[in-house]
Amino acid sequence: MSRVRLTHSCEVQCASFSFISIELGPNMFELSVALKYLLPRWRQLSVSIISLISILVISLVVWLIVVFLSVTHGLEKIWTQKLIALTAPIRITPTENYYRSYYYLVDGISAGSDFTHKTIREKLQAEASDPYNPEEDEEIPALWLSADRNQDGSLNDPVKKAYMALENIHRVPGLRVKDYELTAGNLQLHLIRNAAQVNPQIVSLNKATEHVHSSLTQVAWLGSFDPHQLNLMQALLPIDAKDLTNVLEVSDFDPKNQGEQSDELALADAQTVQSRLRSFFDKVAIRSLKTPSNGWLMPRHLFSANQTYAVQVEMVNGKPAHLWITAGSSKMPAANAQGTLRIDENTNAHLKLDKDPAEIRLSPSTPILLSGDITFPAQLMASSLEKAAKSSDLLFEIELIVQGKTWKGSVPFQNLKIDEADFSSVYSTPPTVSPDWLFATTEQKKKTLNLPSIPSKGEGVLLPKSFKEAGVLIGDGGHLSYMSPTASSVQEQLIPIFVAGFYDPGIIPIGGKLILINQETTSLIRSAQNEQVLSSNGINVNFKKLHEAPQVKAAIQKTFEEAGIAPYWKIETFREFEFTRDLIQQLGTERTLWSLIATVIIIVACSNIISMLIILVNDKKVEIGILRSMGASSWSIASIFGFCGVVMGITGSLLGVAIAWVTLHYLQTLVNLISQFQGYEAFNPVFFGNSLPNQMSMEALLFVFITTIVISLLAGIVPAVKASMLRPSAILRSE
Amino acid sequence: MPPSYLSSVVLRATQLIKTFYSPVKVPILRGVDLQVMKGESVAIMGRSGEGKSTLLQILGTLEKPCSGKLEILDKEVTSVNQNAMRNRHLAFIFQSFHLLEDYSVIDNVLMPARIGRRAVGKGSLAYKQACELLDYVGLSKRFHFDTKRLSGGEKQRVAIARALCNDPDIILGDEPSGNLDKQTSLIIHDLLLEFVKERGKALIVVTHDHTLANLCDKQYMLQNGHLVSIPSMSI
Repeated sequence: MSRVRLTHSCEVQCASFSFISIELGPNMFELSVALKYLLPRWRQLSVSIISLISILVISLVVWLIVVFLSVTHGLEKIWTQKLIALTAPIRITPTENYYRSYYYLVDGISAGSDFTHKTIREKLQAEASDPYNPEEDEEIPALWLSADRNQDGSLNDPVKKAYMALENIHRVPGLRVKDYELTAGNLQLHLIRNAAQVNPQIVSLNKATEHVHSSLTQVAWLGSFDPHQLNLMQALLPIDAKDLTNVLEVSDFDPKNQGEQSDELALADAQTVQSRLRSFFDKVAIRSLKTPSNGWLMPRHLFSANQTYAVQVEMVNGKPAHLWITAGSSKMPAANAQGTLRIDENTNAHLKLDKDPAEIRLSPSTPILLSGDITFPAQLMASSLEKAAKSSDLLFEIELIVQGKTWKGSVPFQNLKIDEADFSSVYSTPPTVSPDWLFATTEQKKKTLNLPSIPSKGEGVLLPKSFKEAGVLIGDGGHLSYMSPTASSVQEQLIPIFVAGFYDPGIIPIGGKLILINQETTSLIRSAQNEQVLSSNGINVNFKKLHEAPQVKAAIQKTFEEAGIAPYWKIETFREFEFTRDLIQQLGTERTLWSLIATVIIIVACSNIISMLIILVNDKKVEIGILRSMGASSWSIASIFGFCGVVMGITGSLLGVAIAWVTLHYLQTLVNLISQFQGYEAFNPVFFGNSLPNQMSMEALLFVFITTIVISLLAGIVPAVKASMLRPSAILRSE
Repeated sequence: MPPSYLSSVVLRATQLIKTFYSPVKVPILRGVDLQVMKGESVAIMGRSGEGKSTLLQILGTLEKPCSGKLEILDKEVTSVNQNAMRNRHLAFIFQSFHLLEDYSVIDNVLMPARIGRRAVGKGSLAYKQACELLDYVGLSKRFHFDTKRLSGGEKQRVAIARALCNDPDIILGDEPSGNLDKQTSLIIHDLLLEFVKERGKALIVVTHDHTLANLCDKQYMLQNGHLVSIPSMSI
């Protein structure tokens, strides 16, 4: 009876084993045997352990390669995107031949050109290619190269011909040609900040808003802003609530008239302030406000009678100097006592300290503050906007719940900060008064970027990210200065400007100093300086498919050669730009080098497969003999062991890719962890951005799979040949 | 009077010569001639070291003769067709059973079918045949059994079932009962001979066992590299 039961249980067990064996089609006999051999089993512990180790090593290598290649590939993509955002996939710049040509130099001696050299745009717009008038203008210097003339005697015009040639290049989707100018100037910004927010020690709480002024001066490159360069949007930093608060606060001032040394702040007249505020609220709807981090002076009228609050108190000389009503468990750094605040029926305030049972009646001037960073819904009172002569005159209807009590009423904007607001930077029709920030218009379905220009503030400029990191905000004003030579002296010229946005310059080395401004301004400064040394000029060629850049370049080169203007122009794709070439090349080299090292590591990892398979062949000698006796060919036997190698390779790769996927998914957490261990940023944010790219690269996947499969197949060949060479008669006889 | 199916020759060996050269030159077979008809059972006897197993392996195309000709079903065996020949027309039964230990009983029986690229799924013809064969050898309750758990006799029954899986024409037995006790040997002999008779297969066994040899239609003795026919009663 018991025997029957035993047999039965065995059968059940064995049946479950056959369930996990993989059923493959009749043509997959070799693969099915290979899989059978690879399934770990106790009887072949050594083989199982070695094959497990081989698979783990392969997956480790695959993991490393996929993560590394994905990150570098992503980085290159981000860098290129930022590079293209500020430049173009292809840049055409004038060569030395151009600047030495009669065509370029002749403007300097011609009355028709106002004796100034012309930019590419001016050359394109000029009616005559040759403005020289032999009768009026001075003689052409003998040192000049002779004029390059067409067959009909007219001057060869490299600029107009280049534009014509570019227009005739077909089959490049989204091709757009735009000249750019780069010049230099001196940027001076006046940063006007609310004193209470700058320095907690000078919280002049009882006074009206007080502001402090600092200025920032820097020599900067000025690049011409291209309204149609929509790629720029990818590099723009978002406008935040701090920026909006700043725009509102600096409405009161007139930074362009601010003297550098003067402590007195230049104020804007009431009419200007009024129009600025109207314009602001035309575009921005404030939804909630926030108390400044050092605390906000509570208007007493918000208190209702007969209410009590837990407060933190700063006692100075035994008297309460400041009181803070806190929300939650926040602790005010200056507080040195705790107590209860009571408002009586006449809204007088009384303080009872925890350590002292006596109640103190507070003077109306004792500041009662609401602790910092408390947000509450707020709505502008339209009537206050009409009367406001400065931003702090604006009144907001608020509703605030602190310590379970509701405060409702109107409060002035004084010292408060914007927390949330609805605003737009995309308009279907251009606004009559520009907003203070860079905006886009989508007229007739064509998107255009606009740098604002506001008469009372000046020209809007786009600053690189580094300025924002240094504390500059949108709305800050100042001026650009440059030297303009006149007949007798050199004069400093000032152009009023204000900050209209920030962009991320990525890897462009001068990016930290490159300011984007309307082309009219760059042209103005350029023509005043009349020096090519400090400035550069060229043509950006934009198109959609970046990878086609070399072909487009070749096409341009060809048409330029046909037009006879090739010597005047240098055509470069974004990979060849002098200022980024090294970095991009280095990244490429690193990737190639890494792929090579990776291949070597994969080879080492796969060599484990060889030893494992040789052990397996020795282990399976008899089975090989039996299979041969049943008619399996030597090719079949070789295939079985070849498959073993490939299956291990593929399993390792899949495992590695899976771990890589998880790693990439949690990459930021990992990087933060590493940074924490090291005590400093593991990856320089200047190069790598605030977060590393974590998209798995298809290229990396392909590379890894092909390399691993090929190498594991090669590793399988040696044992496979050994297995197929075994003579079945010898094996079976020796048994 | 021989039965009517004993008409065609399934195996014909002509002047098989085999010499081993390593470590010293040893001539094993010096010209062996053998003809086996369909449904015929042949026993080859001889002293140890005479080359019985070598002859069997040559007949089973596992070993190449130094010279001589081997024809199976009137086709000469070459290095090109030998694997297919072995798979389709030949089957081995070994003294030490040689089952595939990683596989279950039914999978062992199906292995020749797998190698022959036949479908072996549950509904397939090969599967049905394998079940029938296992039924016949009395192992119908051991289909999914691990081969390691079987007794010697059971193992040899599986080997017999496996040998017949691809419906071969010739079965080659190398001491098929050499590792079994006397009683089990008798059962295996009966099973094997009954099987070949019933299904019309040719059987060539190499054996020391006179009982088995006497059960066969013909008996030969391998002596000095030559095959000598001996009358059955004389053994």
